[in-house]
Amino acid sequence: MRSLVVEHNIRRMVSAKLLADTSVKRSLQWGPLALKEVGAPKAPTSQWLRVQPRLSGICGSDLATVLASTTRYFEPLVSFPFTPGHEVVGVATKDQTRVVLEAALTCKPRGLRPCRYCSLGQEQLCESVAVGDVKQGIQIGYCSSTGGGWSQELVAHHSQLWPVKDSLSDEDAVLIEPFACALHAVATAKLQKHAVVAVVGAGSVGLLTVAAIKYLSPHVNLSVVAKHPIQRDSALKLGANEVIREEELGRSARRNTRAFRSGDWLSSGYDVVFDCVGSSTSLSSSIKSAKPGGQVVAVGMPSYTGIDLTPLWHREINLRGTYAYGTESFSKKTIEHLDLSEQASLIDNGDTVSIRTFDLAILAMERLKLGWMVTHGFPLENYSQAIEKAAHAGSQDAIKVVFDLRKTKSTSKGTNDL
Amino acid sequence: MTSRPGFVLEVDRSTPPTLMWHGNSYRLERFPTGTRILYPPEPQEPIADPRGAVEEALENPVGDSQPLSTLLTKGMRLVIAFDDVSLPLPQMQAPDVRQLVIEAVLEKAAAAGVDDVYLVAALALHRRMTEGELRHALGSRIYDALTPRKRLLQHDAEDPSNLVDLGTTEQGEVVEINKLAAEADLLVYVNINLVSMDGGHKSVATGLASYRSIRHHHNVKTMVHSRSFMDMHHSELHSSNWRMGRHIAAQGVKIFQIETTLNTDTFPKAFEFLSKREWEWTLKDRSTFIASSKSLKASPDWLSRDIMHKIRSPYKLTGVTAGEVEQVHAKTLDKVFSQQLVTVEGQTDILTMGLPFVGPYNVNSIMNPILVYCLALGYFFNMYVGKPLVREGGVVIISHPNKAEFDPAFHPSYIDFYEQVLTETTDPAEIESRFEESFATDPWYIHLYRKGNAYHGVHPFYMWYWGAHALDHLGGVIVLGGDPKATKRLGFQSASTMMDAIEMAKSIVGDDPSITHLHSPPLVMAEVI
Repeated sequence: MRSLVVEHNIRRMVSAKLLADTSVKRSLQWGPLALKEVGAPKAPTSQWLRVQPRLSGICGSDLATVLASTTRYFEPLVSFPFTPGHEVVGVATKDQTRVVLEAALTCKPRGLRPCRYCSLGQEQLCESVAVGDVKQGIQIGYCSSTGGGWSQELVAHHSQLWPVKDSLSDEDAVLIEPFACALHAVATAKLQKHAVVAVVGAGSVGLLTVAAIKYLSPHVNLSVVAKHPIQRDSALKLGANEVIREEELGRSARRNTRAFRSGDWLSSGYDVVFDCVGSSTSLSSSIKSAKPGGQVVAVGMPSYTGIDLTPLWHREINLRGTYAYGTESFSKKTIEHLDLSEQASLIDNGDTVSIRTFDLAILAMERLKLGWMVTHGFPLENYSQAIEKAAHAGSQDAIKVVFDLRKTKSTSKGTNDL
Repeated sequence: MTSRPGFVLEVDRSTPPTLMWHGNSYRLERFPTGTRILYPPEPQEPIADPRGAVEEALENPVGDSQPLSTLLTKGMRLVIAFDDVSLPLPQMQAPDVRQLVIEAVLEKAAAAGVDDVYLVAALALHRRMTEGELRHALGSRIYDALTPRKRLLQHDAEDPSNLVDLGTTEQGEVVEINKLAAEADLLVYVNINLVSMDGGHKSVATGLASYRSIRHHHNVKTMVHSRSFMDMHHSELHSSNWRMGRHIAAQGVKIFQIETTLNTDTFPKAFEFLSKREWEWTLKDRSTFIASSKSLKASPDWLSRDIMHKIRSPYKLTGVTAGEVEQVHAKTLDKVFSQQLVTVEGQTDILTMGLPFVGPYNVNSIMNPILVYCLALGYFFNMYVGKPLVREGGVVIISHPNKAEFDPAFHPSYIDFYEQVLTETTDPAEIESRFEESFATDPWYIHLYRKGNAYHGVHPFYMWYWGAHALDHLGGVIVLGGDPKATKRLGFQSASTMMDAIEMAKSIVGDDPSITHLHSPPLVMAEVI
């Protein structure tokens, strides 16, 4: 079968890193990713199923991996060679059901007793990402045992597969995994009803975060920093109250909270800023524009950044990372507002109600139908074009770029605008 | 020497290129044959003895007012309010006419033994004047005498402790003005009537009022029904101010109005070619034009702006009248119109205008895009009595660089208006209903207005409303040589040459359009018949 594979080749990784800033195409040409004919991955145990991807998304962390622009932090948490691709809608070969993949490789798929985090439903913090039935890998898409979405077949533990209703298109379904990440980021921020909130960055992560905010907390006043016309239009379509440029963030924070300012210092600011870029500029401006005691949530994967933490210290800002998904807790009133009271998957905790983030993402997607954000699909053969498009998404009128594997024998060289 | 009247020139093949302002610089522009160019009248002969004329006016007031010297008695409180830095434009060479008049009033007060005297700059919602600007307007003698004793004040429309609610007019308009002025035994108002919009009851009813009060006439509905606001008899802006002014008088506020008029001697010797008709330029004028225009064009913006804002106009006094507000103002208007009015036959399809470096709200500062809009569609467009110079559905072509540059100290709310409001809509009514209140009540803007040198938070809205009548009337606006992004933000089209602009305008007004160019400054006003 055909599969895009990342090899552990230091020379190629260094080349990719050096070339990434000047040319994505050249970076790929000289980088660690290659299209190969490989054998299908073997199921580690009988609890694992084969899945043929239909659509598989390209996300920011994938780009950072194949262009080798990530830090070496993840090196011990992946196993080479691996096939990227963790945003997957596919078909389980056993019964031909359409499924989406909950990609995180936590205790359960690894055949382990739940660790202290998994037992609390906080799978995103799982302690077992490097042990168990499969090799190291935080998710399918970073693990040599499982394969990944950028191929014709992968294996997944049955607990990682969620059936997809016919009412959801493949495009809706492929966004469930990244949307679950966004819902987790927003749910853990515990937004107040009329909070003043900003989302910095309007790529697919930023826009899904906007959708998650407006889904969970429709009454918040939401400003979105967007660069390109398609991002601006999409943010407004998703319910942003205003769309601004990055350099306007401080002024927007001031006027939305009627704060006083002296230079960059604000007497107030956003209650919560979701940084969906992860650059030193975006994190710096996010910290400066949050209110004293406010939150900055790093949703987009940051890397090495140089930021002035003086305002973080002086204003007692809570800078918090958010990764993947687990179980979210809501008040009963919120669950009522979301019209989810009748859902069987809810766990009643007395005052609050819990729900797996993935469950919530599927239910929310049935209402929101965000598949329109999948703007471009490419066959595996055109991976260079696909990754280039994803790397320059906003400036090339793209939001979410995916590999389209529905025509498995396709040798088409052209792009398929969806 | 008598001054020659203004006139309308029809461009033919022998017409030399026409001077056209373009922000901090200017250039020569060739207009198509048949274009009409509206030239202003030459500056009128000034009063030979200004001090004598002031004395004469103070002692021979019009209307039912008594001579000033008889109104001044020992033990009384005298408040003298005066027009702020928005007048005249550019700032006039010293001594400023306000200094001339206020010195005369203070001398009379001193002679009568009046020592409880306050001076109040009638800012309305404008920015506070700087020390340099106050010294220039009043003279250092007055400044140094009154400032240490806290007797020189600037009106604060957001100071509840110094505002008094005088009730409402018969149309329900709130009248709230400066308490010190309202409760004085005598309020003397010293005005400069540069254009016909200024003065009259507007001096006190707007200049010394609060936002609560001003909002009754500074709004879209009023401005759309002020056609034009340079013509008080057809201006709802003035009708409202007149109702308020009469209400103020009815509440017992005793006002002694002193109005002055200036000629249009706008540019000093070094720049006198800017006031001349091009075919009368001497070799020296041509050389100066070439040297100055090239230098200004080559200079960075801050430098060319600095050079231009250092211009002090050799304006001279042409009239001074004192006494009862309405009768004083009637005489003032006669004087203003006699200086500025030119009869024009028929409207035009396309009106062109070159905007200079300064308008009422960017003295010593940057003319940002909102002020460009206001100067063009608020002021220049409205320089008419009768009918607008440009026909309904016609096009205005504005020459200005129109860069998205702002003065953060003077115009902080303008930046937010540009970023937050104009990205949403350019419709004045929508802007008013959706955004005005939040800007007007923003505590940060209020703080900067009261303690810094910032225009009030609501001020950019008023600038936008100022152009509401023009927006309502016109079929299109084209900015010539302007920054395309900023121009688009204003809702206008961009053109790089005059010929391109005219071609673009043809798609709106049709082929073979009539074109009229407003050759201003110096100030000129059209009486369209």
